[in-house]
Amino acid sequence: MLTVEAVQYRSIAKFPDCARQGGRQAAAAVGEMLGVEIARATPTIAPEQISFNMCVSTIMDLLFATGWLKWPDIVEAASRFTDKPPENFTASYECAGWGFALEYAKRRFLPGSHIVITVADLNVLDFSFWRGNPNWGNSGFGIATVVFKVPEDGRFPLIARVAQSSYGMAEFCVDLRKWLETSESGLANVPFLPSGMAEIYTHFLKSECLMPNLHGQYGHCFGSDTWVSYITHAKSGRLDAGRIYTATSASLRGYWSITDLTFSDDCRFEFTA
Amino acid sequence: MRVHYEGLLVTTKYANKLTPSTHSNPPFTDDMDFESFEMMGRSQWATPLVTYEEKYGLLSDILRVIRGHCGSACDEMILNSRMPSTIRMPQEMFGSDLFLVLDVAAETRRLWAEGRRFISIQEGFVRNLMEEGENELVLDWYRPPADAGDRLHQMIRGFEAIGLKTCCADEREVEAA
Repeated sequence: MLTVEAVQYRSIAKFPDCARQGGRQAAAAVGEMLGVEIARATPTIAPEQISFNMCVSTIMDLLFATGWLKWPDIVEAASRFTDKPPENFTASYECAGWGFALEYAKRRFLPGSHIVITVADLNVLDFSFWRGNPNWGNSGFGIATVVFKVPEDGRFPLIARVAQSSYGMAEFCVDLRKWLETSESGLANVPFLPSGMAEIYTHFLKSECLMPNLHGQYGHCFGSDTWVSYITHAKSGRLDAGRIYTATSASLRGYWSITDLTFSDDCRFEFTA
Repeated sequence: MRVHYEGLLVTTKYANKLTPSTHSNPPFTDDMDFESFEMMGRSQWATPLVTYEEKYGLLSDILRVIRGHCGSACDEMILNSRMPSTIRMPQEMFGSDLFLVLDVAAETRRLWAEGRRFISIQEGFVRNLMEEGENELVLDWYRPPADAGDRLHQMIRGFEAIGLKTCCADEREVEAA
């Protein structure tokens, strides 16, 4: 299975005002943030050791669809801060994006290499819709950067799925329950949701199998919920290196990802406010 | 060598019938929301010919045509990611043979270097006046089989049946690699 060697989250509650000068200025700022974060997460990893380097997002799609933000501008800006800029970007799979990106990486068969995933949910133009709404409560904005080591046999368990019915979160919970029945993990993170909505977790899953729902502390951080969960777990001294954990993410639209992970003995955990 | 196709969507799904656009912006609640959307606005735009739901239906049809005619002669497809969506993507847009990503050119370089037989798909179907695109579909089949020309002509018939007019279809050298 995948081993996490670094997991960090930089909270960016308010995007710099320079974004309002135009798309190029916004791209420069986004690129700098991504570049700085990737450089910080990979100080001892050479570019050629990274076989796959993808940025995923839930909320930044509209900026690209209108053409206001250009991905090549972001890569160019990121390259000024790291020699390992992200190769590409997808917002199609929303909060489950990191899992779908890993599924695509898995097809490539990359034994022994490193994978870097950045989960970027930046409210670049400060849309009020994204600050919070009844669908998921308050939002948390920022960038999670995760460095994975692929095992020498190139294999790792992973599912990245779409719901068949209109009850996506219920289907996710059932899938997670099945996963935990056969996994050695026994403990999974959950997406951060308001307490009323989060009751669905304990309806389908044993509460002792679930890490805390930290919505009250951080808000809903989209695909970064997973990584904020593990950072918080580690910082509170509860994470055991070598133990198997189940990482999950699910979008309200009905996409979800589940994988098992271990964390290296010297895994870097960082939360920057 | 690659097989290259360019097409243009020229009709709505229900020609000569009024169809609700189903377009919904996120709700605006302060001055900055209005200002932000003004910043992203365009001075020129292509005519929207699909609603959000119809666009997914169209993409599903396109993927069905490609899978039907390329199938085992293609390892993977990449399609440009153009969100946001107000509805869930259909089942046809998932699978271990497809990935949606913003920069198709960058992914083309990856798959070409890996020696894959793959198809890149770039669509510009416009759903609203703020979206970039010209209602185009551009398809490139890398490392096609010997009978790719015949398969392409069958695909073209399938594309034309769903409202796409062919602008260009030929074989080209792979310069990007």
